[in-house]
Amino acid sequence: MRVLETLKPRLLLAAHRWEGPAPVGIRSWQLSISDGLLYPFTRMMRVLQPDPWKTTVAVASCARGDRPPCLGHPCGLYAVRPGAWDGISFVPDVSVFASVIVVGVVSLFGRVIEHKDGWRAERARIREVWVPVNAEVCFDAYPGVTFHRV
Amino acid sequence: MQIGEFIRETYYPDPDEEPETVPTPDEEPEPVAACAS
Repeated sequence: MRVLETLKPRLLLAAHRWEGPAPVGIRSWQLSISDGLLYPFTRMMRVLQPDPWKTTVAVASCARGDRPPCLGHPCGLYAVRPGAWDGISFVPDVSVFASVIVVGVVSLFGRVIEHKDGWRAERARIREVWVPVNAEVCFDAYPGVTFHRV
Repeated sequence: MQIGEFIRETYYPDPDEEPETVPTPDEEPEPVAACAS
């Protein structure tokens, strides 16, 4: 958790920077070195998701064909509440972070379901992402997003 | 991902758009295909 501990103050500051009526959350992705895209990733899921967030604004889908996020069905774009990460096992540790698992701040909008420790949203706008300094990736897919090197 | 128990559902407009702006279908981003992302 050492790397994440050093990032926590920066993530909190970034979340505060983007504060507004819409919720601002923290989440992780796998940054693909080959295509420079952000793929959903959580330790709880144990597997990498196949479909990347292709643009700065991501839109959720639901396999049931309903408008996400659904009540009683875990679809939607996920983010955790800033400061709530200690009880959330999705937070990346040093080893996964070193393998280009990245963390960042997103604004959530559209339909948003608030949970105790985070949100599921219909849409998310990527604000800032922290990327390992040695990851040689082009971020052209995400205009307006600030990528920090750590 | 564990985000705890349900609290409420709310609608929020895009924080980067003017309140009266309604996106046209051509401006809609492609949905993320994975259900839980």
